[in-house]
Amino acid sequence: MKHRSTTIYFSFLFTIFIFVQFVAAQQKSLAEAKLVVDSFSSGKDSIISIGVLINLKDDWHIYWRNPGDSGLPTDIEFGLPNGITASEIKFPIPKIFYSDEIVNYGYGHQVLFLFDLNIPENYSSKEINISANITSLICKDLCKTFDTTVTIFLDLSKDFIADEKISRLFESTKKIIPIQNQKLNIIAESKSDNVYLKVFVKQNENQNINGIQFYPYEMGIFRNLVKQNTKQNENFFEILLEPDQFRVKEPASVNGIIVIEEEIENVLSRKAYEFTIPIIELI
Amino acid sequence: MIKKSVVLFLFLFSVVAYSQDAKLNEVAPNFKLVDSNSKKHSLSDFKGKLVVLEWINFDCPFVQKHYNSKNMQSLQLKYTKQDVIWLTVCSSTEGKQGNFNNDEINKRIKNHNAKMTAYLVDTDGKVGKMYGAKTTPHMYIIDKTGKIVYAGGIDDKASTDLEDIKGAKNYVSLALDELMAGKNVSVQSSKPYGCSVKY
Repeated sequence: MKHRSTTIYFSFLFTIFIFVQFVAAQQKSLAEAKLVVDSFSSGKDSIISIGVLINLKDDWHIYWRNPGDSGLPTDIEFGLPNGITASEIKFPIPKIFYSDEIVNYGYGHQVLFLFDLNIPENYSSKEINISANITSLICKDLCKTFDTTVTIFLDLSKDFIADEKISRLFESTKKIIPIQNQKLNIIAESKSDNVYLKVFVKQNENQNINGIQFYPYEMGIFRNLVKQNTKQNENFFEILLEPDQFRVKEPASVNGIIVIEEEIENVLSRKAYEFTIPIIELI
Repeated sequence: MIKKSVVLFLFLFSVVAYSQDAKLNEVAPNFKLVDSNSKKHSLSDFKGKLVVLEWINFDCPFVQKHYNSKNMQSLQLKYTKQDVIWLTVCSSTEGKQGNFNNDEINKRIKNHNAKMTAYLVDTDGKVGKMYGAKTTPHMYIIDKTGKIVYAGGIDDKASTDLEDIKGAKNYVSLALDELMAGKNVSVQSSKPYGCSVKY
């Protein structure tokens, strides 16, 4: 009798164990993160390209630095050996996700968040461990917390050749990292509560532009829209930025990225320019 | 003919009423909703009282942060004891996260020992959209004159970490304390954070 009770007890515990493992596996497979490194030469490169690669299950997305109407900004914190520093996160151009009234900025399927790892000259330790803690939220029609830590071992005494797929991923991601704007002349004018962003482009480049969109860095200032109200004039685009319904503050400047989608010889490309400009009040 | 005109008027009135966007320092749009005990409530029933609107989805990690830590229930208890009306609104549509039948809602309210005045069911999302509710939680405060005097997050720590509640600046209690002391609300809006409302 006692033996039977013990068997039932352990069977029960085993069932719970299997169930917990199953739930954990399901959760894990929604999004997975890993640290990846691009090729570097030992002793030559003081800056190493490193990235947090996130693969998401179909229809799930993770968020940009400004998640939009809901969600959570993705944050990554590094655990680094003394003397080694990492740059801020370089977020690729986000995509827009929307459902009913809610607009979000983020990434689906796969995203690589890039960093520069700065190695001091004559760095004494050659074998290093790096960790990265990622905190964010992943959502589909429901949301789950995403909080995970990943690690990687690097041997700085040897040249490192990255896997070809990873190298290509670094290359393609670098192309969609916003760059500091030095190309476009942008002005922001306010009238009533609206802000009009005027983006001047050269007439010959104007014809190749398929779309233009502003993504704000700050949350709760401008209304997030799937498609912003944009007028194309002879030498500039005018983007209307409406105020958020419950704006958290009166903006004195516009801070974010302009994403320009171009089509040249049937090839589509997206480029993003990062800027901060003061708002000129029109009377 | 008169009957048809009245019906048309009522239809147009209801469309206008529901397409109204809630705005800060303006009169809160009225609504009628049924609670989890099948009792009807209208915002206008609470004229002359301070009203808190809390958007909810019990399965959202951000809502769980504030319920598992008892933070939300403490606020509900503290302020409903002081004659504040606390209306919890769920705008999750059928089949989406957070949409439950009344038995399940009441079971969860009991398990969490929640102290809201009423849990209102807004399955078609009309009230949520009228108020521009984007996240769960998303908080609104209506003063005794019926105006919206606060809209935004529950606090300033946008995370799902329970530990963050301790050091957070709670905008809802700040605004309610100020209103009860006869002061103006010092922080009228903040960025709401949480899961999207599952319209």
